[in-house]
Amino acid sequence: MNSAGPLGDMHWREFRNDSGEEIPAFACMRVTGAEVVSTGRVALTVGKPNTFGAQYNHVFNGPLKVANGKYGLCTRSDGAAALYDSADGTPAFGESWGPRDATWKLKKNTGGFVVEIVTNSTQALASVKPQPFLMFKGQTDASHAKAATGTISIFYGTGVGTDTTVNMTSVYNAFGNVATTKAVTCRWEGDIAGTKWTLISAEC
Amino acid sequence: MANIGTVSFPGVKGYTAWSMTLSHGITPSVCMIDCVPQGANPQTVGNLQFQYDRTRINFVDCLVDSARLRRDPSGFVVGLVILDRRWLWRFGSISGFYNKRRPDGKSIDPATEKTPQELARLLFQAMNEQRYDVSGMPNNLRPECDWDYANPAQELAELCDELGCRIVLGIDNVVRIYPIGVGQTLPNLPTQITQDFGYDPPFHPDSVLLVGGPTRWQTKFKLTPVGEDVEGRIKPIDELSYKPSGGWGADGFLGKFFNLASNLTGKYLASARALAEKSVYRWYKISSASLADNAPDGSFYISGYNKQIQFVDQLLPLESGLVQTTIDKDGTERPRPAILTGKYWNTQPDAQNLTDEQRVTQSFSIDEDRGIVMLSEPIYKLSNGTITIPDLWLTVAHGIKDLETKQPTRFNREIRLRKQPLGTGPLVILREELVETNIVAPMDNTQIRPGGAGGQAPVLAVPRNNAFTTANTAEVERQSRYWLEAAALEFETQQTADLSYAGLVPISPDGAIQQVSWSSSQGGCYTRASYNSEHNHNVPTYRERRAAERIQNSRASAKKIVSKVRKLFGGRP
Repeated sequence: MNSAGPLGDMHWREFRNDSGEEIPAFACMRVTGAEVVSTGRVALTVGKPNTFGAQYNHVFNGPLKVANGKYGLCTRSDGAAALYDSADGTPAFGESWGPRDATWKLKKNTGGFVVEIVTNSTQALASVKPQPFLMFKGQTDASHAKAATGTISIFYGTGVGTDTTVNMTSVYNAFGNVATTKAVTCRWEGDIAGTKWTLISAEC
Repeated sequence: MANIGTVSFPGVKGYTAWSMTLSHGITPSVCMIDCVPQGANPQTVGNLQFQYDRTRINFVDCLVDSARLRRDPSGFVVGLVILDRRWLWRFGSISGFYNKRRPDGKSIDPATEKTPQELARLLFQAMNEQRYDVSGMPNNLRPECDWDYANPAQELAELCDELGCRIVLGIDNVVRIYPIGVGQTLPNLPTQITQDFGYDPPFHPDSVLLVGGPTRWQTKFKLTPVGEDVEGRIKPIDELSYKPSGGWGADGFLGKFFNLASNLTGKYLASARALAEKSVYRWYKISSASLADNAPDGSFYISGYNKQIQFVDQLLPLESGLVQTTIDKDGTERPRPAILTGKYWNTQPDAQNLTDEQRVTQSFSIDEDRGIVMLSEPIYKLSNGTITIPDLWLTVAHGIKDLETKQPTRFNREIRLRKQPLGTGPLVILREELVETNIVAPMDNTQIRPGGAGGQAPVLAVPRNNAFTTANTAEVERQSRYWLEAAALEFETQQTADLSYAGLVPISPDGAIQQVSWSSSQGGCYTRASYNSEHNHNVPTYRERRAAERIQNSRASAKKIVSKVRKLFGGRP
């Protein structure tokens, strides 16, 4: 499908709104699966984001709001128009904005997408491209034993960074014990139940 | 015994009587010779000569058309019918397109321009005529001539009819073209036997009405979205049977429709979706026209047309381009393409609708019969997460049909032939090449919005409907005057005269002398000539001969009818 103009040149796919509520135009959505609607017609199913950051499973709604149970078009192409939370400020070129739990809007200092430009400040729209959230730095919330999962506070920014106040739970520690409030680096291992994130380095 | 004039034709002997009436036009005149049965057939083609005393009249290249044997009290008589050399004119062909009107209706394509005298010379050359004189033809008009393997004599006769002229074969074997009524008076000779003077008020109408081709306008129309329904009818999108229950606003991004009427399932849903994707937000029909570009649907105000336009059908079919033209690289003048403008969302990621009216970038075609623009891509506005109807306008050329008669509006001018009308109605002269044009919404490429910083392209001005049109009426009026004056010539009351003389008098027909007859029998040799009239009732009148000639030329007539039909339905020749 195509249409004259930048959004028309992007790759769009059909989706069904399974979120239980109306999806706003240009909202960030979490792909929950796919279904064969009818012969020759396959649609993604989407819900509201429920994690910190996006790897490969988040897409953006098109310019039309979509009622619960109805169908629309979504994209993940470079330059997609995305709704952002203006309470976090105005996105600037190169900043990381991504999904967080229970919101349709992109949040600042959240992995998933990198900002190109704000295209409509009145409607809080920015043009973004995917930058999968595959690694983060943080701090242990409690002592973290070897071969166990634990909770890590997600930090963002230069140096040690600033606590985002969002925690990543079920982070696996394959190495030695790590004490509480230690700086760590975590890596995305894939969308595997129970072991999505792993410690790859820790402060002694 | 009376002095008998002689006739000679190769192979004809023993004649007892002969007669010939020389008349205007392209139909050959006939010489009748009664003679005794010949031992052999006469020569088929030869020179026919009459002689009386020292007076000789020659006609070259005459043809024996027929011979009949009859018996009368004097015995067996052969009646020969010999045609003058105009029998050759039945054959031959000519091709050419002259005085072709430019698509803007204002002027003639100079590459095709020919004066009437130049056209007549071309026709005579195609008729293999070497001796002719066209200097008497009026030379101001520029009739459009579309000859495609046409018979040149027939076309010459049509040309002369249009110009109020006659084709005249003289006794010097030169073919001349004379305006009607222009020529010599009959000679006053001592051999005059009878005189008959009078005047011939022609059987003429109260007036002559010149009618041009369908008038063309260039107007800016507002458009409204339409779609194709399941039964094939085109309807406003809100009347489509598969319209979603909540309206069209929630669907249609990129022309995709997922949420049509909830009662549709299976193959019916698939069909409805296909129709929606084919037509909704892609098809827009002309709906109104006004100076402010925002008239309500069904309201048409078009400058230069002072009658009512109640139905859009009066404006259909549209043309495919504008009245204004452009010159291609190959030098061909063509109508400019129609212009589609609008305020819509151009799918930029800012989700903003264009606030200024601009040329639409999507390609489109026009369903001329139905007045529908068909876009290659859907076009719409955005409003708070829903789709809304865009503001679209089409500037295009079109005609206007009268509300009552349903016939296209045409330029017309009438001149009266009588001060006190008798109630005859006008004689209508149809000149399809005289087309009046009215440019209500001109396209002006000189007015552009300059390019912006960073190499932003300049934007051409959009057309606007004006209260006053740019029209070619003055030029059409000027040409119409010539045609009306030429037509009126035929209806001027003429003084007539009919004189007969003893012997052979070498009187040559011209524009005034319409018939000359020579005859010889046992009773003597005589000449009879008519001024502004015809005396021989055995010969069909000029009008009757022209009617018969037109029937003979039925193929060319059919072609002209087809050409007229094409022009009516497509605006194309």
